[in-house]
Amino acid sequence: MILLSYGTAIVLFVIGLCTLLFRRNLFKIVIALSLMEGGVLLLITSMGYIPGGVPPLLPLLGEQAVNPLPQSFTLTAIVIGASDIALALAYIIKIYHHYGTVDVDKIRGLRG
Amino acid sequence: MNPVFAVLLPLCTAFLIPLGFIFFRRALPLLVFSGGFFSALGAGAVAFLGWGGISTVMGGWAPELGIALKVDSLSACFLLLTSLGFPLALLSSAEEFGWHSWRFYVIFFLSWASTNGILVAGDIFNLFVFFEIFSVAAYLLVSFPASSWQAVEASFKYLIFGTLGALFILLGISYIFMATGQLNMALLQDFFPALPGPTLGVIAGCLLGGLLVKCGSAPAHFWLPDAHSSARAPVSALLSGVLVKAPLYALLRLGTLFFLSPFPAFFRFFSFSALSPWGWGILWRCSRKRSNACWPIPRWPR
Amino acid sequence: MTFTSSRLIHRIPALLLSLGIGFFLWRGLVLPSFPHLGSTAAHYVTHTASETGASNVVAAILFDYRAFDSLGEATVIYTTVCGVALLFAGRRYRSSRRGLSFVVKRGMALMVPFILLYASTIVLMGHLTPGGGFQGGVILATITVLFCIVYGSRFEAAQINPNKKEMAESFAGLFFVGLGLVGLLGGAGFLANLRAGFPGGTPGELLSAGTIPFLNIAVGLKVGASLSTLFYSMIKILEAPSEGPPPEVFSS
Repeated sequence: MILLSYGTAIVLFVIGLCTLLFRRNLFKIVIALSLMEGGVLLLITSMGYIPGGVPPLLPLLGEQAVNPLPQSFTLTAIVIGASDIALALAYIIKIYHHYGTVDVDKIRGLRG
Repeated sequence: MNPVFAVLLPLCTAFLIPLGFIFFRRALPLLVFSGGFFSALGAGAVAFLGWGGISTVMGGWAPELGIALKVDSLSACFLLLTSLGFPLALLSSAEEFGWHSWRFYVIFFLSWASTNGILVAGDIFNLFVFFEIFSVAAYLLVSFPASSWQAVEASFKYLIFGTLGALFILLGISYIFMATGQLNMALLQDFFPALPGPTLGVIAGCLLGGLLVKCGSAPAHFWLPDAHSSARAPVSALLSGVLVKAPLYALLRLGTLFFLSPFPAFFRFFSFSALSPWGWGILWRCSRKRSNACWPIPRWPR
Repeated sequence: MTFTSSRLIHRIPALLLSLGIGFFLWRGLVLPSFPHLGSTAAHYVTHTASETGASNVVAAILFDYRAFDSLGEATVIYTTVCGVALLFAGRRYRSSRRGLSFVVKRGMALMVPFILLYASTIVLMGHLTPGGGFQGGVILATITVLFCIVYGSRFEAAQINPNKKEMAESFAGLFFVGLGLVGLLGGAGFLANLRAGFPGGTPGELLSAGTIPFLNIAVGLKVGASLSTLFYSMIKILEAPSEGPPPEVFSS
């Protein structure tokens, strides 16, 4: 079961990477970054799973709690990823104000 | 001397500057310069006193529970570099930019705090968090002032590459955690020889690949010439003199701690790659100002 | 971005590279035959109540054991928002007066107190139930985002002055560092909680866990103010596009 989680995370990451490399619209590039980030975070969260585990809230409802460490990393990484993407979107707004288009090929500085 | 002061002094200055702008606008230059002076002093003190090696854990916990900060001679060298480079860049940018856009100084001090944070980090996830502060501050410094469209485009390109590198670093860190359950760099050193082959390969590939992208070294150098040529002079000097050194330090630290025994050939390959035809090809593409950026050496801000 | 050619011959190496990376990642997965908590995680789960006084183990990790990471995380948001405000700070950017219809405005006015209550619950009870400063702060920010959308950003700026948001961010950051320094000056280490003498209380009570509720409040205010400033900066309208694209671009 955990293999399905890991597999989904890796598939998301690869789809995001392909989108980043192949798409010409700046927004789609930012969405690709978001997809990749989602894949990595899913991978991190799945790492902490223990079969039959309960949420790490005291008093525990069962015997074993799932690993709380990956959850805290995920919380931190979500915030960091969201900041990066917010900044990317702000830059896209500024680029659009100057060029009127968000196509990578037409924007001079972004080729190559 | 607790290494956390190297991070806290610039961080508190960065938090105080907006308050200074709102309440004591006349005193803003005094606040900025005194903040810079004390931060340089703090980082220098940590470097000198930590030459032999200091290791503390935040909050007084045991090393595997809390976040460790560690200074040794390698970090001390780089700390001295930042405590010289940043004040010089501060003086030069104060002269060039003036005091109208105070937010530039906030970002400047945050980049200083995060660079010091990378240099004293002893825990790998903490290294990643400070790396992200450093990267965001670097993107913003490159794009200042935002009226120049060239700077904004160069900064966007840097952002895409930098975020890609950061995601690979995060992936590498998550594989380290998956394999060992530990994040303290000193404790991880003992775990690494025992890791299975494919996992070690993934960790090495992701971490080193991500850091190479952030360094701007071949083969992921695409953002470097644009960023350095579009940035204004003090920022460009800061970028090439100091800000490229932080990922380099992380590469050195992670490489020597974790990967030197399994992969000595890796380092030989990349140390020669700058002299290869690849490296010369990069140089050919660069114009005069850009060529200064392609061979980043510390130089006096003009 | 370097492979944006639509020719298939250029796309194939990139596709192979991505698939290769995916395969590489799959091979490198470590799947323990007997999944169990590592020694660190087991220590966290068993000792959280006695060492920190919190009931939520994740909040204890985020704001006590690894509180320095949360300081760094709050600083990332602070940097991003400072930068975005810098990008959109010109005089040519102005806020808008346009809002939505009367029905939406009235409905929104009814909902705001409940959203505020929800956000406060998540922030204040972060050490007891899932939640905490970051999550609650985002919900606080959505109130201001909804104001911007429903009433117009000029109304939102009139309700909560951007300067006040700036002050809230800075004060919250300094408060976080200040709480940490209390521990440092007491000799227990930066950002120490119960070791620095803060009262632990009984786990499960609202007033427990030493500094964790206060750190949650500080981070909640900081994140709320930051995201609110972020949205307000990005939603400004470019007044006279003197730097904008030539007219024929818009007509195509």
